Amino acid sequence: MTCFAALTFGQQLGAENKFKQMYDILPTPNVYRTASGAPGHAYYQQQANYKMEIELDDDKQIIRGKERITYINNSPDHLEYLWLQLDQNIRADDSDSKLITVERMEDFRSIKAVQRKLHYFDGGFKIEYVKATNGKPLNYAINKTMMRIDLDQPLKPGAQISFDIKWWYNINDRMQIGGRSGYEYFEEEDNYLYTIAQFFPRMCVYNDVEGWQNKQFLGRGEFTLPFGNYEVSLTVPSDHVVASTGTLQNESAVLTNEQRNRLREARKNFDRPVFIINEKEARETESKKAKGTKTWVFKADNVRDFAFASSRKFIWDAMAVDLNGKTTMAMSFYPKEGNPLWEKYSTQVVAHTIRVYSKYTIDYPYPVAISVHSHAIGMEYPMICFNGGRPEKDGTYSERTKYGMLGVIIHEVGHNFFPMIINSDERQWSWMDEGLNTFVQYLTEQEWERDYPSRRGPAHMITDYMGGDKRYISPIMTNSESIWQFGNNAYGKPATALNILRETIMGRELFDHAFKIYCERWAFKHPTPADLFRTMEDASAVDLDWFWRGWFFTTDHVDIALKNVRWFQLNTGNPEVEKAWQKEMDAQQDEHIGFTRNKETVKETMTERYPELIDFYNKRNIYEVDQLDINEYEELRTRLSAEDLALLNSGKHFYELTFENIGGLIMPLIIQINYADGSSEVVRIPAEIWARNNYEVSKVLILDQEVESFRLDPFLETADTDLSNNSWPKQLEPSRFKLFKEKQTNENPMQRQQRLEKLND
Amino acid sequence: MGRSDNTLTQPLQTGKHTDHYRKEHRIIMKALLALSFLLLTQLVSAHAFYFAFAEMQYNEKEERFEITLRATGHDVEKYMEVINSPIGKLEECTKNPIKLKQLERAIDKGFRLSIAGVQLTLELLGLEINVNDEVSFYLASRRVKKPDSLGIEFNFLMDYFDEQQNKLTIFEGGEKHYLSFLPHMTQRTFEFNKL
Repeated sequence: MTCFAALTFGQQLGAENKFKQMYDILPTPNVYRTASGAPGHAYYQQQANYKMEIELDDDKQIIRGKERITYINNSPDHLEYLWLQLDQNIRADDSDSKLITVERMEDFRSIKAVQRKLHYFDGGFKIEYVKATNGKPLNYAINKTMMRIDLDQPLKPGAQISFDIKWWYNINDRMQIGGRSGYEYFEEEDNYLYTIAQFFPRMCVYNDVEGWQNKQFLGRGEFTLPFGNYEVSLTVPSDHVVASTGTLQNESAVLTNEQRNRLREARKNFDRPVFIINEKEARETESKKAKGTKTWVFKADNVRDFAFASSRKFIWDAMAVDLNGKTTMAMSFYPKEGNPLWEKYSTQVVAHTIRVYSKYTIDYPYPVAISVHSHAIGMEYPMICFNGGRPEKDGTYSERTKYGMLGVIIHEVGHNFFPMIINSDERQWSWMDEGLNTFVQYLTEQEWERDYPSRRGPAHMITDYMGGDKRYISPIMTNSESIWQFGNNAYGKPATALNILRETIMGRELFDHAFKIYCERWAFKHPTPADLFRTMEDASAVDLDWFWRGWFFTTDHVDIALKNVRWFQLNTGNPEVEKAWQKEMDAQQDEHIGFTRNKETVKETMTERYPELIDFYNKRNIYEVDQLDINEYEELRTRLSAEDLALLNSGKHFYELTFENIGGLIMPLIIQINYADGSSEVVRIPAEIWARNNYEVSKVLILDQEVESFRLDPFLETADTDLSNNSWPKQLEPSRFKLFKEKQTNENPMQRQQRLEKLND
Repeated sequence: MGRSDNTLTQPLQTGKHTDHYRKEHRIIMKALLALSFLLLTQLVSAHAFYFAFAEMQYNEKEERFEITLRATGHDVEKYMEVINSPIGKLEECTKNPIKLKQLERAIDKGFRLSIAGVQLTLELLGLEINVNDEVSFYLASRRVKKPDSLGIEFNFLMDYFDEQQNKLTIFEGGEKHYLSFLPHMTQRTFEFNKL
């Protein structure tokens, strides 16, 4: 019975321990994905190749397309049917995303809001046919944003199938009804700028984790796509300029001689962008509309998607980027409305981004990296992304606009790596691309300029989100559609977690190596969260199960308090030293107020009036060193070695520090010791100090000098949400209001303005 | 929107409209529709923040509540457009008493303190905007005795951004206390004497 009770107690402790290994929450390793986090010996992935003919109807804002998909079954399974994604159907009449949008009457408080809610848009794919290459119709079924094609015979392992689809859809006005892609209409000159994506039926991923990843597209969880090769012809108005995933195949047919010469010049220029089309030329083109069409042909190999932009408004600049001997073209396409910001920064930011990301992940493998200016959004596709950041109409811009633009370009170009190359399942886990990308975005921003004002990355910037009420915070490991506070959860918190691993827990060298290994292992493959978690441990020899468990699977936060400090010194045994020290300490004791008052109010005590009442104890001087004390010390010295005596006389100070884990999240203890002489040092204690007791630990620091104060997390590197309990002696954390007041004069801005106006009068 | 929201939505939801309710509803609806004519922007503003944080403490010496309210700068600018009280760029507001007053009125609708049902007047003392597009508003109440119980309504920006979620940190008793606010839970009560 006793044994049973002990076992049960032990199991409970194990279940609750924050250092419990993650066998219970990670999938079992197998031949496809190993326990080390690498692809297994039987890892496979499917391939989907596309040959498409696309027409952009600039009069009616319609896309018409025909595609031939060749699907290669590299899995060991027989596939009875194929699933394709029809993302445009999110704007179809029967879209679930409209129905599941939570609404309140406040959403209808303006005329425009009501108009928008009542606005009818005939969105969604209009599928004209799905047929085999011999022209025979194929059976298919559409379920909202997914389409199943039924095969006459199951597709065998190693086999491939080709089939044709024809479709069209109305392009959405992105500025009116939103969307990751669509068009922006420039009313003043009656022109359109198209940013087109999710524009064709795309194969779903079939893999060892999900089978078919055919979870419906509801709007937030983005895309999960297999790699493949694309050959796409885009027929657009003849005066349009097209920016696209892939390499342009027919320059001579669509560019002027002058433009081709400039492009050749740009390919040799590694320092600064060269204009292929400058603003003056773009203004001239957009002022009149040419007739007829041109067909631009692009090819892209080993990409998971394809997107393009088209407009007669585009200014185009480009420069070459050298990545270990391989040249990539960094390019930007933007309307005049983007200047002067875009011509100054965009292409340089693209080039900088792929250089820095290549350092931390893998060398950028594609021939082009393109930034297209599309007002008010940021969205990513292979080799091309659509980015906001628009100056005022008078050409001025605020600092916020500038850094907002730089940040969004870095972020969206960075998405080439996560998830376009390191191809995680966005539909399931937003954080795997957004979080990792935001982390490298932070590194890239910090290499753009010193003290770049990054909004996400440093630990202290996530504390407001993580602290407090947990009912409306989600663990990072939450499906994209169910996340409370998407931005902080999927972008900010994982980026911060990785930054803390790099700066505090693993150190830069170990982290950077392991992170690069993860990127190399899973480049052009489909990683899962477990593959990341396992690789980071496998490549560094750092057990991070406690970290992943706490940061990714719970909503715990960091609040570690320096609860108590006790100070000790070694007893030297030398009565001359110890009794003198004791006397000094006793003299420093605070005196009770009653004693102080009694010295005046009690005129004479009994022992003062009657000296005969005084005995040995009244007369004894406890600080006096007598012969017996000396003899005992001499005896002690004979029993101790020289080293022991040296230690006893070293004057070392012993400080016992007690820490309490209030927030639940384990972190290392970073302790700043400030000495009485003004010097200081920092002691770093690994998180494993919490391995047995997750909630309270103590540590004795043996120091040569007396300490004036201790401070926990002095460099704000652990995301501690409450700094007011981090110091000994206690130091209250100043509120923002207090800091504001300290730097303010007594007058408020209104009063200052009034004073200024009086002065001017 | 607090109580006025309830008077508006409850009759609609029940489907049992009296003539009085219908008339009142029409009047309120007309008033609301007239408030604004600008486009809601949540669909075109893909910054994924939608969070406002506030810190508050009771200043025992000055006997007043002091609040710092932080939000995303361009969210606030858009919000001011939507409520038909445009301020342009926040940078231009710091020295413009008229625009500060506009902001003070807007904040007054989104962050309210009340004692025993009586709303406290909060004065906007100033604002700061940083390059991270984060704006901090500094507010203070009039002199008031520290109450046992404080009502807090914090629905700032929630009317216009579906995902807006706000959080208040109260510095009290040497500790931090957190209150979350969501569109379905915009009012909370903080008990000072139960700590």
